Amino acid sequence: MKSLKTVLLLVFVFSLCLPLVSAQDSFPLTDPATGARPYEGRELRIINTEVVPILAYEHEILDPAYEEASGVTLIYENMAHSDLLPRIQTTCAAGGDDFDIMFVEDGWAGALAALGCLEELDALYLAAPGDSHPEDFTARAFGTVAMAKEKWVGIPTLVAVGMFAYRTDLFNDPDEQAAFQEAYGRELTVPQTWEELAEVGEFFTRPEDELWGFNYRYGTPNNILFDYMIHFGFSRGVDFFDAEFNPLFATEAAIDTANFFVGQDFLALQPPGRESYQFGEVLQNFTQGKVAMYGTESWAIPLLLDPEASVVAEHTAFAPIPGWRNPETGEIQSALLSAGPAYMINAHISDEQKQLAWDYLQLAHGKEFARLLADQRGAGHRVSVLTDPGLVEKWPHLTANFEAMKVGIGRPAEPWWPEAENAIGRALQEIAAGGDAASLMAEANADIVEIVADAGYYDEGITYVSVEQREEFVCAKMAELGLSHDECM
Amino acid sequence: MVKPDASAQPGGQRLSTRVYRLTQRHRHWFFIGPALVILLAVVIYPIVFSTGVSLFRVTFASTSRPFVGLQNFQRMLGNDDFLQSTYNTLFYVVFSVSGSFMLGFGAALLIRRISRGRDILRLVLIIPITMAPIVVGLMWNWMLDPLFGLINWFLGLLGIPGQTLLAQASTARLMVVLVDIWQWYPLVFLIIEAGMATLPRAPYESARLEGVSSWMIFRRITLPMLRPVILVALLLRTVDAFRTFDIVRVMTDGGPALTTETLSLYLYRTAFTFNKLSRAAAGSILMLLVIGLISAMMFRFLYKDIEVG
Repeated sequence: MKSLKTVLLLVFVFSLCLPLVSAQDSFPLTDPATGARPYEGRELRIINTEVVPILAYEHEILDPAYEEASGVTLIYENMAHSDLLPRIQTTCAAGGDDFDIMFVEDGWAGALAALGCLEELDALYLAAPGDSHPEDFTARAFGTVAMAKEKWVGIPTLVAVGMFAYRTDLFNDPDEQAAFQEAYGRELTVPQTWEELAEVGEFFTRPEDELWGFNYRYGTPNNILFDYMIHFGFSRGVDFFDAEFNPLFATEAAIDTANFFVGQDFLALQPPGRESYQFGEVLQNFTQGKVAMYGTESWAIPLLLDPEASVVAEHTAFAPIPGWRNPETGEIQSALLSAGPAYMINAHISDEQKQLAWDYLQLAHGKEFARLLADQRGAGHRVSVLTDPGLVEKWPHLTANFEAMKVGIGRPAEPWWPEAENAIGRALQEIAAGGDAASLMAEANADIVEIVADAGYYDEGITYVSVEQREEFVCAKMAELGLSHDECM
Repeated sequence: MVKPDASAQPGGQRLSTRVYRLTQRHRHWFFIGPALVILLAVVIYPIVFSTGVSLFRVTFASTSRPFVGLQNFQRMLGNDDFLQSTYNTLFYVVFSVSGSFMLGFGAALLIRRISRGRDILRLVLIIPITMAPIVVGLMWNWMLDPLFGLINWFLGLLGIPGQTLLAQASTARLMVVLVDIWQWYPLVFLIIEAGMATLPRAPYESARLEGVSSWMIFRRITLPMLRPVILVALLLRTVDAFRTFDIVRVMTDGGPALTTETLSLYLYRTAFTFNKLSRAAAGSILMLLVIGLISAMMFRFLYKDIEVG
């Protein structure tokens, strides 16, 4: 009798808890179509950085649209990009709930996931998919930017791929064309190979007119490594690691690439101060009309096309980055890095706040709002935007971005990656300062071996996640979520 | 101070007298107590904690924290970047402290010879120290910019081609030091000038009556009497230069090619970018030992001939 009472009591308690469980299973979302505003009057705290132009345009377009649709107030804590990771890491390590959503670069996700502060999005998605559409990204972009190994933890806020911006007023000028023809014996065209790039750069370098050929980023180890890989290394076959996780920066191709990219001849075709220029300065040199060409990334597009931000906005066009002509096949190889940040939800906040955070992500960074941003600013990273005939007609570079996002190689998202990046970036800076490429690259490679070993990756059975594995993770995740993806067939 | 009435109640009399004597005997603790508590909480405890962390392997990426003994110290001392940033810091300390000292001392000596407009000049001279280091860094960054900077514009007027002073490994370190000197010489100036204002007149008058030269007066009277003030100024500047972070972060971020990376910047990066908290803790303990050693030597020199108490 006594045990029956206990059982009944347990059943009663369990039935009381059922509504709570089911409440966590599904929850309402803001929906402009129906006018639903379940989070009206609430506040959402986002930690972010303002330095990336496309984010500023997102704040101008997507955030006001979300605030109007939802009645939610967005509160931003904006920091310098270099201060963001330390701030997020320390808060995560302390289990803090200072912010609901965080801006996380793909290279940081490994460290933050290890701390357990990245909320897995599966449950939130399955309970209320809204307009999130995780299948609406290329597999490589999604695997690089939105996932921490096999876990889905973010909605991409941008996907960066390498691009080449150039000034049409210079390239289409008949006088310039004639002068180039006379000097180099061929037509003045947008460079397709490294050699052409150097020639055209030399042609346009006229310090007396405050004009230089081009501008790359050499200022910080992170910047210099990125431009080394995106614009030159990948096209020559340089990669970060092999299948056994050995770094590949001391190969012949890596050293040749370093000799070209940070060689004194190439540096001389760029504005003075290039050794210290970071992404802001090189962007500024182009928007002020001081360089004829500029190796950039897709996040800069809205700013480069904004007449209020660039004196050459109306004469700016985009092209695939110049590659390396393979002497055996004659083909121009041009592979790109695909990288970028995603908005991720802090696992340490309350369930109610997580639902609000998801509400923001599914709508403000969902499929329809992405179309809004692309239409107004020409920036996009969702497949539906990049392949939309109307948008492509309006913004032709979207097609090149789409192709790049399908083949881009992501950087390792491992906790030790920033230190490895620093080692190789320093070596490249020392080469730019006149050091010997072969010995400096070999030293950096050895340093990276030590860094990786120190993290236990060789002896403790931790394995490297290759680009192919990332795609497998994406396909497995899509299947788990009951979604089909074109690249997973 | 009114003493308690000892004749009021025999029992209470003894207690209150005892309390009174006790508080009188230990009253200094009431004054230094609050400062001591704060010091223990925000200085001593973190040092002890950091020392503990330096003996384990602590990273942001893992919750396991194995004991590794002195391995972190060993790795730090064998790390090229640590040694390079230590060298950079020593370069920075030596040249920044001596430069700001000479400039500040010189300004203090000169301003005492000026009779008109001294107050205004004093205000002008201390402007750099009133600015935030980040603002100073950004301002000089722009002034030194090779394309639109003021410095290169002036050089251009003189027919000198544009210089990329912050981008070249050979000049970047020196430029950062010069900016630091510019910002901090007013500190030395203020301390020395205040010290000079308190010097007694009698020795100077006697020396002049005996026809002693100005140089000898400076060497034999001014310098020895100013020694404690000079050492305080040097100590403050040395400790400050050792922990330089903001100006370098803004102006060069440690580049090009690590030539301006100071210890503070390197340790910050090690902890918060490279995820190596315990290695950074070991590095900071080493840095603390060096600063402590230098400070102790300076204190010893400072109090060598001074009677305390």
